Amino acid sequence: MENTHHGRPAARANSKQSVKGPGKSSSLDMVEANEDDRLSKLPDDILLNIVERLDIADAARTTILSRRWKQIPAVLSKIVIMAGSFEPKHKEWSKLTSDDIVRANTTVLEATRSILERRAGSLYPIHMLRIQFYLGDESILIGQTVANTMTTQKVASAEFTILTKVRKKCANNDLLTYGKQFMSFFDACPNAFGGLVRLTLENLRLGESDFPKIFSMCKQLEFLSLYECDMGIQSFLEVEHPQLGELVIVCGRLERVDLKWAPKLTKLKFNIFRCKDDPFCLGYVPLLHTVSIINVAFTWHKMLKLSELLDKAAISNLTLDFKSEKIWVKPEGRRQLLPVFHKLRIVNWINIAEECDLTWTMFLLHGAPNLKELHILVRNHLCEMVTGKRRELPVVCKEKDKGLEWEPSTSDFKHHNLAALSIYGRFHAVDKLVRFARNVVEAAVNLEDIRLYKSPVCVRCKHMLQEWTFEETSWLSYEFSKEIPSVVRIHFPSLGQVFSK
Amino acid sequence: MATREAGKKMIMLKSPDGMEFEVEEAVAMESQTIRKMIEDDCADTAILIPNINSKILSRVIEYCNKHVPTTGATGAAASDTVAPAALAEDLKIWDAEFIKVNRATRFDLIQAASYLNIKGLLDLTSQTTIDTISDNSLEEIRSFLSTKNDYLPEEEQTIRRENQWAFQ
Repeated sequence: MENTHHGRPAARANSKQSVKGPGKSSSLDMVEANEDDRLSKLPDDILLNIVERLDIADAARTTILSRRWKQIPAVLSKIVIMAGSFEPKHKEWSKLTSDDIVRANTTVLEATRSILERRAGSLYPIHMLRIQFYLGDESILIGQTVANTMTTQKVASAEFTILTKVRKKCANNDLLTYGKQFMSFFDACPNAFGGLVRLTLENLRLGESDFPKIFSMCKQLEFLSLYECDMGIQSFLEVEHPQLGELVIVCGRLERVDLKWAPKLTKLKFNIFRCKDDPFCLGYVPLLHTVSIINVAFTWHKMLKLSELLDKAAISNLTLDFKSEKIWVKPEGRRQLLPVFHKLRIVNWINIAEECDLTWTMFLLHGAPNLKELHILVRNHLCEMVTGKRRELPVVCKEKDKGLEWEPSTSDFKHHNLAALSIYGRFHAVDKLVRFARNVVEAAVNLEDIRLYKSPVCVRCKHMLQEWTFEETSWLSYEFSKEIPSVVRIHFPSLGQVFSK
Repeated sequence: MATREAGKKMIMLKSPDGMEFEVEEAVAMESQTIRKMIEDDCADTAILIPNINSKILSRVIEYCNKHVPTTGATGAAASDTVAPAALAEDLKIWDAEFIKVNRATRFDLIQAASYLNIKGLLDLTSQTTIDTISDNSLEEIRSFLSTKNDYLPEEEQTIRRENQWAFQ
């Protein structure tokens, strides 16, 4: 591409001319003439860059444009084939019929074959291969096609997301059936699984020896997400894996996950657990730095002691989400916390119910001397809370901030590292928030700014991005200025997409 | 490397047709290619930008100038004065105006963005092309891209058959 202005009048200013500062350019002459086959002047890599941004079906359709385009799918470095994109549009997934699902899955298979088989022997490496499909008759064929591709060419990052026909609230029978179905798929395609870097599974009840088999076969695995996967009610999952970097456990009836040996694990996320005791136990996880725990606590849940739960790790980033229900973490003393929190730098308290007292949250500041950022979201979020008749069930905690008694070890505690305090919410319980902010400011001697944000975006309850109004900011400024010394500035930034799902 | 008032480092960009553009270093560094040249100390005097004529280069600079982050004391401090959402909205409108160019210019901009490695501009210019491909019939796409259908009818049938899943 030596000269990019083929066939158009030469730039008017050929003389040496200095344009001071990049001002407005001269109006462009809209020359439409002489631009026959512009495309042939675009180099391959740029054409590829454009096609890689297309949905896979659109990308495949471009092959019909001309001979040159025919080659493009065979050199794609990014291949994303999603069953979801072949489902009827404008239909919620809960309303999909078996026919819809089989059709979508068949199309995934055809797409996988047509895209991957065409590349046989291609020298162009695949950087990313992501396939989402349903567990079914087609999955084995999809797996075999992928396995063939993995043996004949370079695939840097392969990912499977395996869906089940019933996706939410599966009956035990379904879990067992899907579990068996999955294992026969797994056994039929060891090479595909052996090459996977990312794997997302759902609704599987497996046998005792199946998880160890999966871990030993999927040697490359760096990311694993398990939604409602277990080995029966109250089963124990042991994780021993040399590569695994991120583990996400969602729901499921696992009694405990024992992270025995995961030398590369950096991120761990637990989203809803049913067990009465600690949901996980850390073994050899020297690199673990980010832990998120999300749960709705019922009466049977234990108050978690972070010093025990996170023992043996030295994490830097902690997120605790209470779903606007009962607080399930036990305030602890500085002495217990220091060994596990000496590296902690960022803490996110998410979805603390508006009626909760916030004094107890100070325990974390006392126990984490190197904390830099503290974010707290206080709201009653109906989309996540237990609502309606279910609230009357005896297992639902009526009092959300019970058992949070906490006494600071010293009355003149000072924190020297906290640099950012952000409060998110609707500020219904403004007095509590002001008191909380005052407590933090009194302790954190180097804190200069507090940022107040509106509640984050939620697609479900249509709580979308909102900007602060002048009335709101003046009201909150007034309320906070009553208690917060004026050296600490209050800011009202716009939220953007923080914490949105 | 020239310096101008307020200690802002200036940099000279030269197009192959002999034009010179003096721009702030921060603006020029929106281009990862130029950033690398500056960081590797290969940019003592003027940087010659091959392949990109002055007309396109001036538009690219216009884009970078608009998109260079407005840095306050810290990133967060700047976001307090101008809400990022509003800023993003403003940029979107500006982008939409910016990209109202003829096809030839757009393809030149794609090439320039690719060579200079300016992600935002590459996204913007490519996206308009993608929208055309996604929303229009094959004939419309061919005419938009000025591509000639050089298949024999039977060849075209084969291609269609091979990619039948995509045409459903």
